[in-house]
Amino acid sequence: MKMNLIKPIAILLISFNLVLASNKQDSQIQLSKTFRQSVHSTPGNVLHIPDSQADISIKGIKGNTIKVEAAIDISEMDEENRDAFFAQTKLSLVPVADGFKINLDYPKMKTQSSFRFLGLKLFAKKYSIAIHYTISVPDSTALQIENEYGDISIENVSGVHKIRNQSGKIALRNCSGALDLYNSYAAIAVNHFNGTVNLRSSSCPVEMNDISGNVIAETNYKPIEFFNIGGNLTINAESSAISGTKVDGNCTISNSYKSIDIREVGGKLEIKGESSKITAFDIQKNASILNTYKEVTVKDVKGNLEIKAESCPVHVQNTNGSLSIRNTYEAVEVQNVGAALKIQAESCPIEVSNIKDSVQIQNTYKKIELKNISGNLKIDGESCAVRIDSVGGDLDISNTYKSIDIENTFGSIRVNGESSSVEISSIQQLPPTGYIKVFTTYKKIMLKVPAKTEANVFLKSEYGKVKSDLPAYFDNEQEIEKRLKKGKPLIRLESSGDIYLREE
Amino acid sequence: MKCNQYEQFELGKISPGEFKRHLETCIFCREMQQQDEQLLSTAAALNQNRNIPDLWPEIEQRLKEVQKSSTVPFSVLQSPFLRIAALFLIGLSLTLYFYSKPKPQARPILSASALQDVEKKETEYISSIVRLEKVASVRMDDLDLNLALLYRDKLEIIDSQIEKCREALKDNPANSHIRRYLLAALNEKKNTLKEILK
Repeated sequence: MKMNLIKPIAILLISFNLVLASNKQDSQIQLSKTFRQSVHSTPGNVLHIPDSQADISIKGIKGNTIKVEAAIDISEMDEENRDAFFAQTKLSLVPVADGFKINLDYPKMKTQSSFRFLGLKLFAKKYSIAIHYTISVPDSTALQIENEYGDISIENVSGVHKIRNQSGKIALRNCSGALDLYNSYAAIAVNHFNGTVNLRSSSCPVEMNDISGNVIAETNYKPIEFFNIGGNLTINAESSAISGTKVDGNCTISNSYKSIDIREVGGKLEIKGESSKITAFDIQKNASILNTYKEVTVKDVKGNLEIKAESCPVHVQNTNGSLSIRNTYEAVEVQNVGAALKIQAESCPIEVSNIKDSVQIQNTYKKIELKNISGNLKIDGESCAVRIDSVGGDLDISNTYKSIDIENTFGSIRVNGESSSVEISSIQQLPPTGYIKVFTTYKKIMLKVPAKTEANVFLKSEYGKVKSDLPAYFDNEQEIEKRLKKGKPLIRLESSGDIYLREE
Repeated sequence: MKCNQYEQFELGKISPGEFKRHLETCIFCREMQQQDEQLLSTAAALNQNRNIPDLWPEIEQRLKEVQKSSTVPFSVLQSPFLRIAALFLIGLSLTLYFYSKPKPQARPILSASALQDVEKKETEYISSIVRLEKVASVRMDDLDLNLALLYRDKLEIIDSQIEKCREALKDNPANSHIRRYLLAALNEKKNTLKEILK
């Protein structure tokens, strides 16, 4: 029982003493002290914060006073050094030509003695310091800040701001004027800025929202995100994932290796990528895209679109203007183009549908599939399997080795094949002055025409069979012109293989 | 006002046994010790293979969690009398603390012992990066030229950042902001080297 009482009493006493002891000032503790200064200013003045290593919070307020609080934390330090340190520390607001400059003078001693023995200072060691400025300024004050190793946050300040930081975040909110900003290695966030922004950075994630003016942004290796840029947007990046929505003006972007995702551009769009996955939706004016190796997806372009790619899968949907695509080795898919389409490809599988104007395609080795072409069609293929369904204008196709299948045509047809079998069927209309001219070698030609078609028909096969449901001539070229009956279309089929002309 | 027992213990002015007993009643010192332990354990984890974008936010998060989840170890008190006494003590201590000291915040300056251990861990971390660098430099020769140039440029930027942080730390060794950016740069270098080796 005695033991039971002694223990708690002992604990009670010791603990009580310890708690009381905690009230005493220790000789080796971390300390902080806040210094304050204020000065009368006028709108339009500049506040300079030069050469600082501090966290800086600045708020714009109504009134004409600049108030500065500098909270200083120092590392463990004995009482003597600490008192000396704070006694020699001085905060001041110095008038300069265009405004005021913050000066924080503190002892630049590199070391302090950490231990005393018999009156001697032993084990000298370095001390550390951390500074936090809390500043309020008249809301029309330009800021010029040079800082490192500290975060900067600025709110509600209007002016021509120049901010340099290193290894510290920069956040601006509800500011206006013009912003010239540089940072490295830490995040930048500019939200609700009424004016122009020029932002350069190295290895900084960047976020920009609701900026009314033009924006130029530069970074590398870290992502850039934006929303609602009122002016033109220019981004020069390297290996940065870029994504954003809504640019009222023109948008120009260069990047490499990381993705680019841009939506809702009111002006022109220009993207130069290198191995970047590119997505661009809803562009009001012309767009041009340059890329290599990674996928390009574009949708809803009101103007013309030009894509120059190398080994990129390309998908395009809904362009009002003309579309030009250059690509190699990877698939090209195009749907719904309001004007002319031109594709220059090399070994690309091509699928195209719903084109309101003419189509021109150059390709090798891979299939070409076309559907619903309103204008003329010209294909220059080499060893491409060609399949065409519905062309409103004339067709001009040259190809080698692989088959050519054509359905639902409304205009004249010219096919120049080399070892390509040709099949043409479901002809919807053949103009009286139109023609169907098919030349190939070694492979058959099958032409199906509507029943009761009246035409000048000339058929020629070197080694194969010739079968025709229509009356036909088998003369040489010189005779053909003499025998043409005016007002009727011309059908001329020539191959070293079989030829079939059938009525449907 | 703050309790100084933790610093006293770190300076060797009170014994481990005495400090352990003190910890049972002092929330402030418990928090200080937990914060430093968390910092050290996170620094120790730097050598592990983890894919995290930035170590410091995690350190800060852990410190916050520790601040939130400080609990009193009632289970160690067996006797009812001890429990009553402990309750009284805790109540009294808490009252004194709430009147006497501000809430603990993320410290802009690291304590001496934490700094020493973090520096030690950083050194270990750097040596592991050096090993990784040797393997990655061989792999760089096999990469596409443009990609290799990009990685070289990126590594140069990271090295420059590491150097700048080291320079700044010479004058301000316990500044947690600079320390955080050094850790972030080291972490990024490690991740970049691992990316090259993929």
